[in-house]
Parts: sequence; structure tokens; C-alpha cells
Amino acid sequence: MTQAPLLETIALTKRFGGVTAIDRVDFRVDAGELRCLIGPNGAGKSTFFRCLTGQFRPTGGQVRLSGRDITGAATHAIARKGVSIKTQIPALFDGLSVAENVRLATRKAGNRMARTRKTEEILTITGLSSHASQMAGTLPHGQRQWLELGLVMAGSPALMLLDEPTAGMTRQEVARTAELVRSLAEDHTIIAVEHDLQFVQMVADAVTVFHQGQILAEGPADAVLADRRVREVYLGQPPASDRC
Amino acid sequence: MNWIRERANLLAAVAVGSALIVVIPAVAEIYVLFQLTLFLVFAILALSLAWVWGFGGILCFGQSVFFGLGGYTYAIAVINLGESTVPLVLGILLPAGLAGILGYFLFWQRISDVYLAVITLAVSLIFYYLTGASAGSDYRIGTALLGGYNGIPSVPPINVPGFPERVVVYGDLYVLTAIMLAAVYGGLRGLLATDFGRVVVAIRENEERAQLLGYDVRITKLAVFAIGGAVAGLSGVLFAAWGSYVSPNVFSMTFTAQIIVWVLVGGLGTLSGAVIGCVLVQAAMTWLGETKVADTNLVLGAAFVVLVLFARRGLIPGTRSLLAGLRSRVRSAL
Amino acid sequence: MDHALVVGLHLLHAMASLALVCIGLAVIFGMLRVINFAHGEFLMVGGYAFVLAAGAGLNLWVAMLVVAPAVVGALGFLVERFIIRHLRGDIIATILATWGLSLFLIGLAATVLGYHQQGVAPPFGTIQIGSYSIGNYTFFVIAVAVLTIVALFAWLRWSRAGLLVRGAMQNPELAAALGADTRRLRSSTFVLGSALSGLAGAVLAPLAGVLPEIGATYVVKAFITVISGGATALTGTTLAAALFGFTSQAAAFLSRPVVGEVALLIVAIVLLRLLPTGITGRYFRKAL
Repeated sequence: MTQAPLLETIALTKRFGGVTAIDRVDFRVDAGELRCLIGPNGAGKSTFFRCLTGQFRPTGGQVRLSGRDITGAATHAIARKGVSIKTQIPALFDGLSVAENVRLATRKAGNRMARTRKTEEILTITGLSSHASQMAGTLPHGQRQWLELGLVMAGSPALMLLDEPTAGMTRQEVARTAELVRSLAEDHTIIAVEHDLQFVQMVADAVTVFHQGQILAEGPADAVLADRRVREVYLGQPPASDRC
Repeated sequence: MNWIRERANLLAAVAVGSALIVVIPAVAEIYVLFQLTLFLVFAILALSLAWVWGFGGILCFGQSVFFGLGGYTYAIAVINLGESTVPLVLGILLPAGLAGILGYFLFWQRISDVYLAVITLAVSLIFYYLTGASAGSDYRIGTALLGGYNGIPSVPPINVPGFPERVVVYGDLYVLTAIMLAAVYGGLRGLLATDFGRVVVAIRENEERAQLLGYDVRITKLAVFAIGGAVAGLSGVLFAAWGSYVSPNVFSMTFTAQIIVWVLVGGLGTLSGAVIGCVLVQAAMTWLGETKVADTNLVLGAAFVVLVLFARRGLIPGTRSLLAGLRSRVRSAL
Repeated sequence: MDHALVVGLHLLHAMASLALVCIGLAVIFGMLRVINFAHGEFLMVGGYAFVLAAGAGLNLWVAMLVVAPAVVGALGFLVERFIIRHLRGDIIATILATWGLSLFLIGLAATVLGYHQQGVAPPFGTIQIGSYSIGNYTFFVIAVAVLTIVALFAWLRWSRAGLLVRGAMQNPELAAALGADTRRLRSSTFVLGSALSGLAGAVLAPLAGVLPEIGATYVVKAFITVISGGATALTGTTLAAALFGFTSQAAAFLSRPVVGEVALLIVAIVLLRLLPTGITGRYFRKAL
């Protein structure tokens, strides 16, 4: 018998009134994978993420984490099971310092000493050490993104969900983020929603394309991005190699 | 730099605390001391709301419920028992318990701010009507008559634990209250510095993010609310002991609004502000009430409108940013 | 039979007077999201305007139906212009400022008119139903409540201004972008709400009397009712007023008046627990 995938959704559905945002999605990610989700705006990617974290209660279907059903569990309970998310617009504790923000994310690290160590480690990785005592609310946008990535990392999650990790970043920052995400992928399972196709090609093992709440295509990055149907719905026109 | 500032803050707190506890009782007249005791009792109540609202982010309009329940519990228990230790503890535990039950009711279903405010206000008024309707000899608990709108008179004072005849009144009650105030202030400060305290503030800052990091917002808020209830209960106990009297007015709309105003005047999100705001407002009201220069309501009302229009964030944060502005101006001038 | 009729009338009257107490707040809180803690004092001012004008020899009906709404409407205009507008929707600041205003108005009334109760005897006399006598004024209160609500519905539903108000409630930015003068709209909505409160204060004055502190007895009930009504202010408030008015009056009949007051509050709490977004948060979403 094969091992259960790290994350699996079975006919996952979310409706808002008459609008079906997610329509019977069957999706699986194995441990150690780095998967990118792409798709036009309104394809249901963020809604899909929110169903995974428990922020939305699915209308139907199942979410399974390592084979265990977590559908409709409370957000904090799912987070404790090791699902961590970087939201589309960085969600931080603006009135607390950068170091306090990170420290709050280290609850799994153990005792006070271990938490302090973990906090310093994360501050170093994200290059925020020199801003440790600054209020998170005063950080510029790029650094907010990094801080939130730091919060996600600090929990050593089994599954990382990254919702547009490079949104609003400069070319250089994107490249640095791609590097970071790749190094994270060595010992984490990651699902990233991303619009920046260059980023996707830099990092992804496999790509899943969402369209109108359903999965349109799935497979290795190059093959999927070359698919004609994908180009039609997503790019709207023949190949554009850069941002959309 | 930070380190020095923190030390300075601590030193200032200790200085103010010891002045309150040691110096004032030595120099003030007994009548002034009696009046000051009430201010400090109210300051403890103000701290409870500053904690629940300013740090826990819970917009509670019925903090008076826990205050009043503390007062009534103490009054009823001490009249029956004749010794104040158990009543004092009960006066803290019962409100904390009620806050726990109410909190379960409020936080397990996502209820928005305004609704929570109205529900807590409604609970306060329920107590107001019920205690008000308790006139007559039918309404008694043990030997304590509830007395309707007349309240419960002749509530025995607090005594040294185990010695019912050694009562704590006037100057002694002042010292006891000042110590309690300092303890509550220090306790809440300490609590805020712990990891639990950071989680509390984190939830106020961004509830969703806290959940996504695995913190159970509901249970944390429940704890915050119960702690606030306990502190308010303590204040209520001291109030009943101070005036040897408690009446339904502690549950009234006017009183509960007053608590909110103390906190807002001092500035939401500070503990010291609540204490200062409370003392200032109460002192102003007392002075107006005594001198009859003008109608208390008239002057206070106008003052609040002006305050809101021109010093929106409350005294402490306002002064702080004013000082910071001055400091940077001085620095750039040098 | 007579008894049932009288009980029914009392129930209707309870619902109607609660609706009257709430209607101005429904407009101000429901449509503008302004928490006006001085709502009770607006009613008080309306009551005084009526009692004083009538006392000065003015026609009773002019005093009640014209003078009181006009005075409180003007008060509302000033309050909106010099206080509310400058707070820009900051809820906490609004609570503090209007609470201050409430104290100020109480203090002003007490300073000028004194802390004693004033009143006007209810007009119309009484009629006899079997062995019960009931004030004809009761019918008048019910009629005024019904007419006010119907007129407000009609205005919101069919007039151009009503359309604008509804639009601005839904999406103020969009309404402004479409060329509506939202500032004037907010101001006139506030004045309308104030005038309605003035009317309610005047209509209820012959039964309740007026004194500077009477506002406190109205304000909490009004807030609880309007908030329990939920997102669609008018329908919600009407339904909530009917439900709460009925409950408290029925409970008061079965037991004592204080039980009625408590019953109202308990029903409100349970209701908000079951329907955390109010009555119209779940049902009647398309209503006004």
C-alpha cells in the first residue's frame, strides 16, 4: 500500500451564494514537493488556500492532511497540525516589533531559550536582524513580504502555502525570493500561488492550473506552460514570457 | 537606549507607587484620604477595562457587571459570615466565573464588536433591573436583605484575615487599596511581558494571523475577559467595603459609560492612562459636585466633546507623541 | 373578550412606542453607522420642545408635529456639522463625543429648566371597553408609529433622495464617484433621523413626562432594538421593535413591569447569539 499524500482534496467545493468558487477539486501534493498554482484572477486559487487553512469552511468535499480528514476544522487547529500560510497581502502584527512578530510564530520551537534561538535564526535568514526592534507596521512593502515568509518558516510547518510571495517585488527581490523558496523546498513541502511565470519556471517542480474553480491542467512546469489551452485561458494570447 | 528607557519607566512606576502607598497617607488629611481611596478603587476598575479593551481588543460596555457583582457578592457574603476573607475571595472569583461564562457565549460564535458591546451593556442592565426589583423582606440571601433600589446598607468593612474585630478602614483602607492598585498594575504589566501577553496583543493586532499561527483566539480572549472580570470584581469589593454600601446604581448606564470614559480620556492601549484618566475625571466631577460652579454634566459633557475633537487619542498617547515631536525638534535644532 | 381586546391594544401600543423610540436611531445608526449615544437626549429635547411650546400657548398639534421635529432637526444639523463630521467614522471617538453631548444636553436642560418632571396631559380623553377604560391617545401613538414607518419606507423606496441614501449606504465611494454629494446626503440623513427622534420624544411626552434624565430610559432599548434588527435598518428595526415590544409587554402582563424589561434584554441577547448579524442579517436581505 502506498503512503497517503501529504495533502489531498477530494471533490472540494466552495460556494458563495450562487457563485461556485471551487468546483469539485481533486488535488494532491506529496511530501517534499514544490508545486505552483497558476491561473487567471478569480480562478479560485486564494479561495482554495483559504479552504485548506480552515479560514473558509468548504461547502462540500474533503481536505486530508497525511490521510487524516481536516475538513472544517478550526483555523488554529489546522495550523497546529503543520499548515502555514503566507497570505496575499502580508498579514502581520503591525503594532509589535519585527522580533516579536517572529517570536510569536515560534510556538512549536519549545521552551523560551529555544524560541529565542529560533527567532534569531529566522531574523538572520530573512535579513531582518537590523530591524528587529522596529515596529512591523513601519516596514516597507518588500520587507513585509519577507517578514511574513519568516513567520511561515518559523513554525517549521509540514506544509507551506505561499499566496503570491513575490507580489509587488522588484526583479532583484523576486530572484532572491526564488532562491529562498528553493532552499526552503529542500526540507519542506510547498504550494505557491504565483502570477510571475519567470518565478514559476525558476522554482517549480510541477504546476497546477486553475480555471473557473476547476483544475485545467497539471504536470511539469515546461509542459504545462506550453499547453495551448493553458495559454488561451491564462495568457489570453500566444506566449508572453514575462509577467502578466 | 531601549534598556535605559525601560529602566526609567520602571523607576517612575516604583516612585509613583511608593508615593501613593507611603507618602500620601502620611501627609493627607483623613477626609482627603477617604476621597482618594474611592479614586484608587475606581482606578482598579479602569485598569480592568483598559486591559480587556485596550489590550484584549474586547469592546466591553458592561464592565460594571463584574464590578457590581463583586460588590454585591462581598456585601451579601460578609453580612452572612461576619468575616471578610472568604467574601473578598468570592467577590473576585464570582465575577471572573461570570466573565468566563459570558465569554464562552460571546467568543465561540463570531460576534462583531458592536454586538458584543450591546450584549454586555444589556447584561449590565438586566442586573440593574433585577437588583432594583429586589425590595422587600422576600428578597434576602441568608441574613442579607437586597433592598431594591435602596441597596444594601451597613456592609461590614474588610478585616485582617482571621481577626474580624481588626477592621481595615480610613487610612488603612487607603493603604490597602493603593497596594492592590499597584499589585494589579504590576501584575498586568508583568502579564503583558510574558509570551501569553504577547499573544493577547497579537490577537488585538491581527486576529486572523494569530489563528494562522496556531493560537486559539477564543480561549485566549476568554482568559483575558475572565482576568478583567476578576480585577473589576476586586474593585467592586473594595467599593462596597469603602462606602459600606452597594446599590443597583453600580449597574447603571451612567456608571458603565463613566468607566469607558476614564479609559478613553487616558488613552486606549495604555494602563497608566486609564489610572490617570480615571483620577482626573473623578476629581473633576467631585470638584464640580461640591463647588456647584456649574452643572457637573454640563461641564463634563462639553469637556469630552472638546477633548475628542482636539485630542483624539487620549491624554497619554497624545502627550507621548507631543513629547516625541518636541524631542525630535530639539534634536534637529541642536 | 373585552379583556383580550384591551390586552391586544396594550401590546400594539408597546410595539408602537418602542418603534417610535427607535426610528430616529435606525436612520442614524442604521444608515450612517454613527453611534449616537445622545439619542435619548434627542428624544428628551423633543419632549421639552413640545411641552414648552404647548405651555406657551401654541396649538398642541403644531407643537408636537412641527415644533418638536424642527427643533431637534436643527439640533441634529448643528451636531452633524460641528461634531460628527469631524470624527470621520471613528467609532470610539464618536461614542465618546456623543456621550459627552448627552451629558451636556442633560446638564443644559437641568440648568435651564431644573431637575423636576414636566408634562402635558394626554389629549382625547378615554373610552370605555367593557369594564376597562383606555386612553384614546393610545390609538394616536399607534397611528403615528405606523404612519411614520410607512412614510419612511415609501420615501426610501420611491423617492430619488431615498435611492441616493440607499446607494450611499451600500457603497459611499461609488455613490460619490457617481456624483452624489455624499456629504450633504449624510448631513440631511442625520437631520432626518434627529427630526424623527424629536417627533418621537414629543409624541411620547404626554405619557412618560419629560425630565432632563429621561433619555437614559430610552437609549439602551433603542440601541438593542436597532442592532438586533441587523443590517437593513428600517425593516430590521420594525421587526425587532415588534418582537421586543410584544415580548416585554406580554411578560409585564404575566408578571410585573420589571420582568418585562428584563425579558426584552434576554430575548435580545439570545437573538443576537442565534443570529449574530441581527434579524435581517440572515433573512430579508433585499429589504430596506
